[in-house]
Amino acid sequence: MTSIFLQIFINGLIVGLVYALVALGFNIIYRGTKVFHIAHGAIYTSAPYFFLGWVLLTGSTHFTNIGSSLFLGLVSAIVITCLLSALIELIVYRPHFMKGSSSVITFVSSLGVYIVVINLIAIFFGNTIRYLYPGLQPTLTFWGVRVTQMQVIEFIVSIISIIGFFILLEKSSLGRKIRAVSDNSTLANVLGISAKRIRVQVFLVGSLLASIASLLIAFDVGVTPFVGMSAVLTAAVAVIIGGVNSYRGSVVGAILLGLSQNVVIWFLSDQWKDAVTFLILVIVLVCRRQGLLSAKMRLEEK
Amino acid sequence: MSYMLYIVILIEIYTVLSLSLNVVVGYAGLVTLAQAALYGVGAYVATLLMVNLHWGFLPALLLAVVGTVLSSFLITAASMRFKGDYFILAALAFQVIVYSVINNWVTVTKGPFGIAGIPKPDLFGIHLDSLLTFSLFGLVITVMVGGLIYMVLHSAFGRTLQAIRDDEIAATTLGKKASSFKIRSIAISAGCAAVAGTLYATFITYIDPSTFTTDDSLLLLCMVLLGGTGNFKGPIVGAVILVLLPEALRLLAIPDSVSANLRMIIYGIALIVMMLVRPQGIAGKYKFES
Repeated sequence: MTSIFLQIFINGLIVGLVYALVALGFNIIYRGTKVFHIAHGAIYTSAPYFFLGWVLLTGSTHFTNIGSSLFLGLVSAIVITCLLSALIELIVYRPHFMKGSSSVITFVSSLGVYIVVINLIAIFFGNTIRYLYPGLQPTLTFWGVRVTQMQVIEFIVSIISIIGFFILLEKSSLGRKIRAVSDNSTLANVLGISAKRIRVQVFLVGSLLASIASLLIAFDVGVTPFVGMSAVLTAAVAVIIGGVNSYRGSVVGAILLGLSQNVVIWFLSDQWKDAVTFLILVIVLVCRRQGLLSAKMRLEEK
Repeated sequence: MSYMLYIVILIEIYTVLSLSLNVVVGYAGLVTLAQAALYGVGAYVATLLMVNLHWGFLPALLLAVVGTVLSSFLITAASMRFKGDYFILAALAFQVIVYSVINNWVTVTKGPFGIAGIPKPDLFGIHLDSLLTFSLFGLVITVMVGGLIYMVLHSAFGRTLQAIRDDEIAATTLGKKASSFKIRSIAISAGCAAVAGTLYATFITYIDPSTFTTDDSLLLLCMVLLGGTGNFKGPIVGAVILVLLPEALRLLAIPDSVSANLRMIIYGIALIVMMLVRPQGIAGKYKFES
């Protein structure tokens, strides 16, 4: 019996860590640019499909040639995805930033971008599920807990990415600039930090995290054009329940969601996954609206 | 002819829906992604009453409206303290949870199989089973709901709602309790959505959860934002576009598999362009400032 709980815990933790990547990306964009970036879901969906496109173009039938060429494909998929997000910022969000449009207007534009990208993908690749990894994956067993090889990779890669993200944010000069622009972009501008340039860089960083996460998940369970919405909503909920002002909170929120979703999948069914995510959101919004790990803001800071 | 009538009836149903959504989006200034869920609650309550308990059309409609209005208080309970992004997510929570319940509570709603055999409305001895009579009936309902919404929004209540939308703090200093007005506007919108849901259920005579998904909420929001918010022309334009666009694509002989996606791409591009050059929509008035 304990091994079942341990199994659920491990599965939930691994999924939660991958969600944390999406959530951190969403949060850095939300704080850095004040855009509620629903199109993050489209970015999330694009990465595996760029990889699939690369596989089809180079004619390598999936993984007959694992190795440097696979690595090249992954890197180019991630780079193209990040460039797509920079393009979205330049074409769609930049004019609203310059005009000072309200948050609702940028939100709706972001929704428009999401719809366009998702449906373009669906036209080119079809609506059905595509697998990046053919066949069953080899499994490993630790202390009665069975994990697939891919899950181990997910665990390691997401831990490294999360640590990398915090180092970038807290130790590098880019991270300092991003935090400055997040706090007060006008003041940062006055002090000689180009808010426009930082905004593009914020989108690149956020999309890098999202595309890593989506490739990990796509190798594990496959990809459809519609996975992005659920992913970005889970990320947004993780950010809010963790507290918008705290990146660590986003990680905690994402892991909490991963764990609770796996508990629900085990006891009820997969169909209730999203409902539980949003139920947790409602409970947090009603009981502790500033989020789990965030201090209450003063009115003028909001 | 029957094809035209079919389209007319769909336009009527969507007009009721978009007018109801406009109350919240255009007059209260709250963007919501929960309208398809409210529409679904209305449709399911009416259907269950008519199919399982053999209620007549009017009592079922009445209880559907009451039930949906009550369920809308769940949205407002969680979301009233928020504006903008947080409000959207809190309303979305309602949408996702309602959809999960409809989809999974198989003993009552039959889940993904849906409920078939919903009777056509029977009013004062007249059985509305031809398309013509149904379209006339739909027109009467649409005009009634539209008139009701018009009266509400052009009363002191509607003006206060717009005042709160435009400057919440100023309206509060004049003694208007913002949350109370917003809660009532969402309740009115929910009641009208329930009418649309009942109309839809009795017209198609079959409902399943796939009509009430988050994507449908998105589509409804697109419809209102494209048509225009904050007046009465806009939402009607939006409803007409929403119904006619897929038919137009069909006339252009675009295969069905592509046309659904193509339609969404057209919506998406229209939304992006619209927000840049004309945020109030094609025929609307409210520009989402503040």
